[in-house]
Amino acid sequence: MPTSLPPFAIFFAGALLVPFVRGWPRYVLLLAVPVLGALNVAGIQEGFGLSAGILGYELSLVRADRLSLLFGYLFHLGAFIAILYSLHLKKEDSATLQHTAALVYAGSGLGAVFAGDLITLFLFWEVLAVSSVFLIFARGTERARRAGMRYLVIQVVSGVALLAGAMARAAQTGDIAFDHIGLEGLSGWLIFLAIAVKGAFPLVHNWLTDAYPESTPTGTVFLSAFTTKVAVYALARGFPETELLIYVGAVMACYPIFFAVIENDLRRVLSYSMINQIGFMVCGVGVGTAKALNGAVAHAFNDVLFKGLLFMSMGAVLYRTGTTKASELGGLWRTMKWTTVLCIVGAASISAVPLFNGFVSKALIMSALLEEHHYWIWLAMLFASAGVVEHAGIKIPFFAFFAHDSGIRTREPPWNMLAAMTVGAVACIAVGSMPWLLYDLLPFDMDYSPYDVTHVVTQLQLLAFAIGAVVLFRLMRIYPDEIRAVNLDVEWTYRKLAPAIVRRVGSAIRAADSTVRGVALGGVNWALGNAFRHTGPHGALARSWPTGSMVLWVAVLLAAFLILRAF
Amino acid sequence: MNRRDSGHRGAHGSHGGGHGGHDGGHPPSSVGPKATRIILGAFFVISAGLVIADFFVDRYIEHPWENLKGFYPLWGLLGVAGLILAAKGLRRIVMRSEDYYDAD
Repeated sequence: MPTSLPPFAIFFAGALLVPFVRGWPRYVLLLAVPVLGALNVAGIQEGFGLSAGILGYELSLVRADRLSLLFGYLFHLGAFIAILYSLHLKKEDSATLQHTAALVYAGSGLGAVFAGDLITLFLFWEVLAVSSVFLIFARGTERARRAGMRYLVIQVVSGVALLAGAMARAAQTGDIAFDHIGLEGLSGWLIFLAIAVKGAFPLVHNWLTDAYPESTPTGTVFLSAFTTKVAVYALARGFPETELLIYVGAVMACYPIFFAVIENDLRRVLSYSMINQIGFMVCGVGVGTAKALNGAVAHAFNDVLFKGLLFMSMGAVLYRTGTTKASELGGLWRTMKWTTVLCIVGAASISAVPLFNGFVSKALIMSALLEEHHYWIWLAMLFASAGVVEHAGIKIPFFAFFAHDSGIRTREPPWNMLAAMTVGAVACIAVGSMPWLLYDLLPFDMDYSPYDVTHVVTQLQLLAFAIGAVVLFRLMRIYPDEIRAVNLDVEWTYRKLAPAIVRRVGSAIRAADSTVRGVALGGVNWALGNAFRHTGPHGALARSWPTGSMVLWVAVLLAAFLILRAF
Repeated sequence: MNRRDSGHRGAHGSHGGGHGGHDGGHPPSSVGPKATRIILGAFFVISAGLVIADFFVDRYIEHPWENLKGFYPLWGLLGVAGLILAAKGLRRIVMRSEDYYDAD
């Protein structure tokens, strides 16, 4: 008898019960799920496993080691915060749909990180996609519906790639275990592609910036916690020390910040920021030393906390004002003081200000890059860190809560939203000021302290002068204004170019088709016309002939017959 | 329950003296000019202090560039300045009207 349940089972059981309870009983049920789940995971020992046989394969439903357990703790914490944040949902918000989808989604995230084989991973990979899309649909707008459909198609493609990779691997090696995979053979590349899509790698990243800002205020908080972190986990498990990832990570950390600077929708700014942060994690996995891998997963842990906090603060703004467009907002600090303070905590955390959690995890990755002599990458990551200060550290809180006064006077969000943001902010500061809380959970033992004079001073210098550039540009009035607009990105190819090509090709086919039909119809008409002319009422062959001419023709035929016969 | 309160827009300039100092053509700042001056002043003092600290703190060095006095402040300043200017340039290429994808 196993003493622990599979972590996903508790969430799935909760999801089954949600539709049958309302009001306070539902609040209790929703909050009990991550709490009971956390107690269950706390009881799981390293090396614990649960397996089941299906179709001749032995599936490993639970594989507990330090890496999977870390993500297990993280997902319970993230789920608790996001559930608390979404307790207030009412019937008109599709509360039952959102609560059920959220529990299934969080549960499948847990299922994926505890999966010990590729088939189990695939199953949860797909449930992750299908359950999360309802958090986008629940917004109820046409834009959300379309963005959700695009999101679903891309996520399912990722799942198909994973399944194909798993099957190719099973055929090659007879092994479906999910351990080190590496970029070898078709199967390795297919599995890599699946993770690349889920992790929003460059060129396949737009589903994230497209769909997350269209989700509900509460849905985006769930979305930001699980999908991409499952991808980071899968990379750390299957592709550590893959050199390609160092460069991919550097590109990921750098290019989104240019878009974040000019983006008007603050939740889309956070989505670009998310890709930037995943870039740090991907880079850490690529470096692959114990310190770098620790840094990558520690940063994933911290990103759930600070990115969740930032998405929550923008969710609160969206909930109260109906928009997160920077061009419409400003001056909200007067009426949303707590939200402002909590947002600034998130901004300080993501900017890696000392004593906040971003600092203690990013330090590991940067230090590992220097140790391994990746100097140019280190320089690029330092630039990306300064860029984070600009778009997430300053832009998010400044344009929402300060900047010019939009005249909007509103009030704080409901108590549960404030409580969830407070839990997130406390966690950010706790991990930031007591880094060993997190370091002790990391997969590899290490002896590292981020708090030495050099590191603190240099980080503060970088931050202060990054802020200084923004301040100077604002004072000189050359800082880009917030403009209501969309910015083209790779998604243009499938939202505009591909449909245009399909339309062009379609109309060309239609034109060719109508020409061919025209010719064919002409032929048929000509044949019909001829037939009609000859056999119709006035046709030569259909005329009723007089008896005399009949006799004449018979005589002619007879004569011809006799002549032929004579020879 | 009226949960979205966006209708409660106060008239500009009616919130006390906080908006007295804004320039004519620009929308009023949500933070008063005095507070802005204090915050900016404190920020510049701290920044200057951090650069001066570079000459007194005995930093350990992992990379030769780090040895340059003011390397981190300079990289932060130039990095973000370049980022913002490049992003302004990017806008000329990629910016479209808000209903770009809706209009077909």
